[in-house]
Amino acid sequence: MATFTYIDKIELSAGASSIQFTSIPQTYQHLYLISAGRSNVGGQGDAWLMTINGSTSVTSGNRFGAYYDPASATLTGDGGGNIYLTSGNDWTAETYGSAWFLIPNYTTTQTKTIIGRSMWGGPNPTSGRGFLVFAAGAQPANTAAITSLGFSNPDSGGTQMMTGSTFYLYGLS
Amino acid sequence: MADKLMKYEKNCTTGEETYTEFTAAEVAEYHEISAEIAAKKVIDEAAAIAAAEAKASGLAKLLALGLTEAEANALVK
Repeated sequence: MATFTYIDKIELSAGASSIQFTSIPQTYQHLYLISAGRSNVGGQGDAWLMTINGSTSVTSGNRFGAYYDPASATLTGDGGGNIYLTSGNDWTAETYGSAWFLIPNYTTTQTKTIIGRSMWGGPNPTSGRGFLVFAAGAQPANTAAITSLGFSNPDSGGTQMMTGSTFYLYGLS
Repeated sequence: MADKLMKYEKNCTTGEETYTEFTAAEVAEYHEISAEIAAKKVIDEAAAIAAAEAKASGLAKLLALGLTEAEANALVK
């Protein structure tokens, strides 16, 4: 029978520029990572890049993350995958961006493809824009079995994942 | 960027949680990636402006040819 097993949770009680699940058990078939995030970036959103075994690189030479430009209403990705992960300071404090990632066969040493989708909701109090949903995929450059997984926040606009941002890691088998 | 760069790690095997400052190397990498993203934003924004200008120019030319606004908008969508 298929099982969906809770592995661990991170809930930030103070701002951070990076979160990582480390020493991930190698006993499941796939991983599933869920985030409810909020950034201190001024504006509508921020780029949080997925880090896999400490690296943000993907095979295309770009990174797995994105940002949203409220001026042009254009989602512009940082290359390999376009996932908008978080709400920004324009939103009310209780508004968090949501994201889901499936990491198939994370224990293999082959190239892996990670598929994710994200959503953030409105209407935004500044722009009036509503809900947006994105989906994208990327292949991490590091082909080793995945033992650590998380996000970093190196966007020039925001420096922190804010208190209350929450991350869940599950194992599928 | 006045905030300290902090990292939060959770060991899924032991349950240990750590909340520490970035190392010097991590700070350097953070700023390097940040600069790359900022540079790409400039390029992407310029491309978006150029595309919008081209669309407006095309629309104007279609209108000048005698198309209705609805017809022209349907073509340049």
